[in-house]
Amino acid sequence: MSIDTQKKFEAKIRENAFQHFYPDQQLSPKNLVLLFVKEYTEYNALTSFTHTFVFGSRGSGKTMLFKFLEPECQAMKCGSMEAFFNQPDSFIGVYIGYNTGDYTKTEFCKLLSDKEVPLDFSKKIIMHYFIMDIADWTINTVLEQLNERIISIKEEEVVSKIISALDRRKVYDGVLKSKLDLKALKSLIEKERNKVLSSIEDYENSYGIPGNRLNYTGNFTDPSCQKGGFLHTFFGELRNLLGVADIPFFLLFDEVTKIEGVETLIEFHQQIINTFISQRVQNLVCVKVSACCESYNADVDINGRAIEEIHDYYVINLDSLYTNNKENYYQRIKKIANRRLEIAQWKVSDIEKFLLENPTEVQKMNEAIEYTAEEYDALPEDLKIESKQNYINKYARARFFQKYLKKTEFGYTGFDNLVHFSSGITRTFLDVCFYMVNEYKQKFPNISAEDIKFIPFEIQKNAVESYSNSFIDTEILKPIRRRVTGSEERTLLEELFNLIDAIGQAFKIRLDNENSRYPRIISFSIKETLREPRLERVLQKALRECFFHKKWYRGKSGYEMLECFILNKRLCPRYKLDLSGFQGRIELSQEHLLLALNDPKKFISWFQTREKTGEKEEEQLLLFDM
Amino acid sequence: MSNIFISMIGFEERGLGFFKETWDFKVDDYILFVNQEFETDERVVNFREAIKRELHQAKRIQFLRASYYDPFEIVRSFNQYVFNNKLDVKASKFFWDISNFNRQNLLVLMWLLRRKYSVESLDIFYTIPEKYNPEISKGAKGFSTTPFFGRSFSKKKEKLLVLLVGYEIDRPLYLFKVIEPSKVILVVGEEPTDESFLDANKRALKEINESIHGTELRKVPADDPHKAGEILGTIFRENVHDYNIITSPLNTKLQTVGLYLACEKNPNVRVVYSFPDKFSGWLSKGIKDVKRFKL
Repeated sequence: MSIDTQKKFEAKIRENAFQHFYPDQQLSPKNLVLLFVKEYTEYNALTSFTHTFVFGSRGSGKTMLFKFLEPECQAMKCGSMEAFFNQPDSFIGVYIGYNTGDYTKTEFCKLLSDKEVPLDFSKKIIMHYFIMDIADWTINTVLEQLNERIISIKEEEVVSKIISALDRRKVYDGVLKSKLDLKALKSLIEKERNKVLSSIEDYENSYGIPGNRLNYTGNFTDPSCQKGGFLHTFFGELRNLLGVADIPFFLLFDEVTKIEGVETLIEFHQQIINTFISQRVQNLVCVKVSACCESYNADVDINGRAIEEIHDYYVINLDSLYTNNKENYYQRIKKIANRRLEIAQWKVSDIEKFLLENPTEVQKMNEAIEYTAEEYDALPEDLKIESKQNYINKYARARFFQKYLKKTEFGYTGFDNLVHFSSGITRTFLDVCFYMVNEYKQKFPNISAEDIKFIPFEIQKNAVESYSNSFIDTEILKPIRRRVTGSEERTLLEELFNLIDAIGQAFKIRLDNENSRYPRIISFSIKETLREPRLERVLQKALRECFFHKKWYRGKSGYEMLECFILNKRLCPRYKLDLSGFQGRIELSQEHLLLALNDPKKFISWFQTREKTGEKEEEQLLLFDM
Repeated sequence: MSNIFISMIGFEERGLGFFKETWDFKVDDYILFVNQEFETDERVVNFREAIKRELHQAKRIQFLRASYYDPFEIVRSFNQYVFNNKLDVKASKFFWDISNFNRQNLLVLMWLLRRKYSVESLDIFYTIPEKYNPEISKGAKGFSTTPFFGRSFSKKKEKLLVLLVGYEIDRPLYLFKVIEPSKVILVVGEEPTDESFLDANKRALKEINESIHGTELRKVPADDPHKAGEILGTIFRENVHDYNIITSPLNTKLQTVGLYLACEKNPNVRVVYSFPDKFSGWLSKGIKDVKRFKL
């Protein structure tokens, strides 16, 4: 990275410690290592020699995690490249930015659907392009990050072998005269990619001309990593060139997420990736794939063979990390924030002091704790079915909302609340802090960023509140207004809004219900397994846009796994819900959820009646630890 | 050598603007495209009849099929036409009324004429209507790259999204969400054609800026493709060293022609598109003026 770019990075982060950087585009390895927090992540699971899927919402840190696995970052982490490669579990991470590539070109989509070209042939040619691109990313990594490890006396021999394995159709026989080194190989791979693009482009821009044929003169490769296949030679010989015979390549496919309009093409790419997985060649090539939740749907390889979790791959769900282990997420965010304050060289170094909780709220919370303790003491002995501390843990926050906060007040200041608010998405936490700092700077223009001691409560409260509301405004309400009445998209958005609004209000009714045994619920489950298509569509959209997170739990029978939908905590301030806990779930029938989609008012009225008549037994099953 | 007129049968009355004027050339062949998705729409059927009446003395009229969503359809139709009529495209003079063309077909056909067939004589006509509908389309769905624009991206560069925006909001926001660029330049028209248009543009710009922070704003003429092309070319040149450039024409058709000219000189710029969820009832009304540009 140039001095200018480094200076730009330093200036930006000093100006606002919570500045967002795209890790794949804007961070040098040095800065990435500076910002990355390895602790409290699934780093260890990710670096095991197992094919792995990493699912997570946008902003949950997938790219950062993948970029950190690149050799330069690993070398910095270990002190030197030598030290990294001397570790027993070292690997060569090759970052493959799926959304920065050329994979979604319309020309490829058209070819896949072109009935004039046999589908097998279209797939072969697109697959070759994909494989050549993987080879290109790999050579880039070797040339830029592992250049010093290249054993130059082996280079010509290694490159010759790779070219022999690639050039099965003898396209380059007698053509390659220059010195055979990695740069020559890179340029040959570029030629192969161009051959694919040119042949498709020439064919497609001649549509309609009689006799028009797809005239491809390059080679073919496939994802086979078995002996005799191109990739086996390619990766094997590169290891030889680097003097690391036993170290596997980690292919880090980042954000292989489906996009409307090019889904078919992306699904085919997903099948190619699955083919790596189905081969179980982790000692040579280990695949790590990241995607947004619910958008990696291919479950077979290019030969139609199914790939299976546990047998073939391991899954890391970044979104559910939060729901499963809040403590890890909390600690990680704390480290990330403190590290940023340190890099920015601000005077404040502790994020908990920077984002102080409003002392009035703290005092009210203490009063709520005292009140709850007294409430426990007053219970008849036979109703004291749990310890006093458990009782306080369970009900004090609810009493805080029910009795100690005025209706207009929020209990959302302080670091802890902001961690909960970010709902497992690191970028949300950083973004809210970013806006708080900007807001502060506007309000106090004479104070420079580095001198900010803490963010005033009013600014914290406003930032959280507006970030919560903007989630619904930007993603649902404004798009509704911009869509034609009665159109499919508008109806879907309206139903989504109705569902969220009805559920959000229902949770608030529950929180305000002083007789409820489980007042702090912000999740629901559906009684029936089979779903009405309209409800299914709305729930899918809600998950895709992260209004809800999904979690699986074991049903009463002990065998069946049931879905539970947890409200994104970013929405809690909008509905004045408690951010800190989400014990249990409300069980709803499809019929009632459909009522929520159609008529939220009627749903709320039904729910109020239900609350008055008491909760059902199944709601009281505990899902999560406090 | 033939004089060939190209137009598209669409929804808008202004597609007839060309025929209301007297020109200093005579046309031998009329090529009239129609997007297959709207072929049976009453407005399109009526327009087709109206244009037939205008051209009742014309020697040769050819109706060719295109597609709003599939840009290859116009390629297929045009190539077939060229082949069947043994047309010497390069030597022919083209007079192209772009008023009713959707932007993706406009770019692809222009690429075909200028890059594949090396057409040397191309006059562009654009009819300004009496009134535009600022709520022309709503929503956004799907993502597509425009074929033949932008070869390969560098694996090292950041992504720059150059959005030529008008009064639509969902489509630019959708592209921003899908592409995740590290930098965004919003390009807006500098001379409004009417006040209501300007208000809609301002509203859109405000809303886009509320959702995308830290954008850079540039202005290009709304009705001069050459100047627009020059300015866009400058933006591309300034950034091509550091960025993979992705652009999307979501404003005037004359600016889209300008974008084509800029892309011709910067072949690595990728053009992308997102489709509206739905069109409103009408796009424009009346005929105000017909402009002509030589490319």
